[in-house]
Amino acid sequence: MLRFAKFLRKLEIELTTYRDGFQASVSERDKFDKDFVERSALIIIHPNTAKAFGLKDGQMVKVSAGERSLNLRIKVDEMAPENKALMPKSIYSSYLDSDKVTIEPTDDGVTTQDELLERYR
Amino acid sequence: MWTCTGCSCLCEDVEIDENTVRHACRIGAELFRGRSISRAEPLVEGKRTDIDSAIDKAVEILKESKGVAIYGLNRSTLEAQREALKLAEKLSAFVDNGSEFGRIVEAIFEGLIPITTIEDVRDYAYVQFYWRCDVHNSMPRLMARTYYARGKKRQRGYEEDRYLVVVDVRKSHTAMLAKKNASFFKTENDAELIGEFIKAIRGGVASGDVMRVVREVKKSEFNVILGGQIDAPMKLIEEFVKEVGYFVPLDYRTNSMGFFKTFGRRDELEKIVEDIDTLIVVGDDPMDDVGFDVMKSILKLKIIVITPKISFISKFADVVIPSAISGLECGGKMLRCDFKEVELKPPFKEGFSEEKILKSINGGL
Repeated sequence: MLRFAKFLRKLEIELTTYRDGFQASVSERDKFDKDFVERSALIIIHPNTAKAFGLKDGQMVKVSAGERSLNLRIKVDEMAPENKALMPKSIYSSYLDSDKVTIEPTDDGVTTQDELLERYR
Repeated sequence: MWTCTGCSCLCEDVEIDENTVRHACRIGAELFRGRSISRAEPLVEGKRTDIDSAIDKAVEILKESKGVAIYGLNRSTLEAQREALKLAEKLSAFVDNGSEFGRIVEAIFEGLIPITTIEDVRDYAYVQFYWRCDVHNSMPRLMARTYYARGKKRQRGYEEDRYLVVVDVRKSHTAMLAKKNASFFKTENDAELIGEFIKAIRGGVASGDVMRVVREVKKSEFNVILGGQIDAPMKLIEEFVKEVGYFVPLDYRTNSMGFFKTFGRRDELEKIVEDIDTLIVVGDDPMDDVGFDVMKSILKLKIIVITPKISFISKFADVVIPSAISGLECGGKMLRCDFKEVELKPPFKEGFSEEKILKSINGGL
């Protein structure tokens, strides 16, 4: 199944959140700083999942949950389970608010805090 | 030495001078170092005002409210929590701190789950289960105080005198520490694994990995489960803790145990949002925790935010009241994750404490 999915370049995967120490530390300092985006606007996948779907560490992806979507950076790390994607718990993960997401490559830049807040207005 | 209020470890050995923060973890270091960055200002409907006018406006909103909820209070002192309790009683308000530990804390208060302290874990505990809690990230210095530290009866270091068990749904950073004299269980079914452990401890047969841990459990009188959000029936957790020894609830939220002790309950914000027209947020940011759809409903309410720093929710607030950072800029007491009361002596004295702000609001009603 993974081989076919590689050509679709769209990955449907379960999503789970976790508390990340680095993300928590930048939140303590300033939630409107670029470091906050760097540590929060992330989606982490397992190396085997990344390989199967042709995704690379640092690549920009559009992560969608129903009608909502965010542009996030991919982090490839074995702390993510093979069948799930991970996100640090923050306003980014709360915005998606879903246990299943679709990941596809994008050339657009990362969603900023201001863009995100605008969607709540 | 100062106390860090970055998480519920409440480490009491932090040293600071003009440019350096020593002994704190990355979360605590940023709390101290970034203290003066992004501070909140008194605002009414987005316009800068003075703190008294902001408090007056908050009182005016609350007087007209038909249903109120108070959210947060995790980094508030016990004194501020008690003041919030008075406010909640006066307004018949709902209270929520966003923590999912209510059920297990209730069982602890009822005496159904035996607990222990961080110091006793350090001094006596042989097998240490870290169950569904990636403490390496959420409470970064905890294991330095419980697992890696040498204790009175544990003098030979963690590789010989401790046995580490990590249970999680994924190979977390904490799980990566399980090497020598250690086991890692990857499971999505806590209840099934707990059942296996109970069976094996009582003399039954289980999988090889479980039997190996149980052999270690039986070597010592003092073993402990340091638990996160264990997904199993409470009765089963109670039985398991009694078979193993002791429990420590690892809710990283700084004074979450104080919240449960003060209020004795939690009204989940997601479930009561239809019943309120005003939300008071104290020292927290629900936008990091609450899902989009519920948050959209919350943002239609009147919102009063008491916060030391600019938060996402403060951008939507009708009133923002800036407060001092508990433990750093104002004193009081908090309960550590193991329910030990810790006195906070602030290195700086600035701003208004949450206790004082809540008292002023109470006085105006």
